Amino acid sequence: MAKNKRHSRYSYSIGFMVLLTLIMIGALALINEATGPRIQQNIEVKNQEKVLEAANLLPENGTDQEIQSLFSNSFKILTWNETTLYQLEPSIFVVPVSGSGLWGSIHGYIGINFSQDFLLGLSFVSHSETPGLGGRIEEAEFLDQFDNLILPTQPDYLIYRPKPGGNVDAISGATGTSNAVRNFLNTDLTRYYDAYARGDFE
Amino acid sequence: MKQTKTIFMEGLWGNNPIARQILGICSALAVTNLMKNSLVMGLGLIFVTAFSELTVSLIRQWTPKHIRMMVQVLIISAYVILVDIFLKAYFPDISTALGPYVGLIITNCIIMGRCEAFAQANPPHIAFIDGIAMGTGYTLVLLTIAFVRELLGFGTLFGIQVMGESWVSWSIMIMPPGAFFMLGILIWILHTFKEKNQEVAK
Repeated sequence: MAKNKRHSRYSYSIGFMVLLTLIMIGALALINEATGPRIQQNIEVKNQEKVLEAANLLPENGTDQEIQSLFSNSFKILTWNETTLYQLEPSIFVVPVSGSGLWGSIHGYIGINFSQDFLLGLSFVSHSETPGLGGRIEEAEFLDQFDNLILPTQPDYLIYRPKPGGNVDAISGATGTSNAVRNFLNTDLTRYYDAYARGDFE
Repeated sequence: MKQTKTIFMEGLWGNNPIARQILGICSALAVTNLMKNSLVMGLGLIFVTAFSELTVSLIRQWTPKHIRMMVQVLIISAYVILVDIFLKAYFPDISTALGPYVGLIITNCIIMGRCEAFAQANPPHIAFIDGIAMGTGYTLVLLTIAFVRELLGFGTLFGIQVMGESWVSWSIMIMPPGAFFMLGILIWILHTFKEKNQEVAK
């Protein structure tokens, strides 16, 4: 009985909760600290994978080491207006693209051959579109359309079929996401083409 | 020993969390399109349920009754974060595939339910065994659903092609409705079996 009385005191409850929280947080903080570098490395490899995918160079089932060495052998890293660019050849670049989708911002990479006006490929790093609908932008069926896609010589570069001059297909059932992706890709492509034409990347 | 067997029979069959208690349905619908994801989800849940029950049971005599829910949530979330960190560090691909569902293990009613209903009233080693049994029951149902969905939806098992070249994938099985159909059919079959057994026993 005495024990129960002690338990029902506020000070005991608060003390108990504080102590338990400290123990749990302490343990988690230690584990987080221990695995931090590994997680950071995983994120880096994932990013390199996406850059390689946008350049259409990603090997199938490559190990982390293969991806890292392929990445560092292939690309020269440049900075332009605080944007990181990955140069494959003098006129071939992988550049970051981003914009707002239907639910949140979308980030990705696109590979561009500036001298011959065609795309190498497209990859998305992160998005929060509806799984199964807009989320399908990260599926091969959508992304593969951009591999070696020849672009018009001036904006708009990307047009959805069946509009005249259309060069890619949208995702049916996900008009919002499809339009958002086309719009920010066109904006970014225009920006990068202009910058390249001005000689900013040299 | 006999008690262990009884607890396992309860978890796997008599009181199976999904089939009998209809708990943990969201994750059962969400991750069962691939067997690999289901297995990892199941292992994560076994780990979290077992250790949460163990911890709750260990400190049950010192836990003030009126804040026990808070204490349980704190313990469960600590273990869930642990699983999340572990997957991010060592299995980044699976971590991406499972996405928010790892974090959502905490909302899985099975864990909270077992902590409240079982671990509060039983000694630690029995609570731990109950956690493993309930988690295993959950995992088996997930794997059964995933087996059918992956086989019909992709023609593969654990990513290995088992159906012939001419196999036409059933897209509906990969989509959310496929999970609803499968779960419904499975619960129906299990209930029919159970009722038959009871009639025979009478």
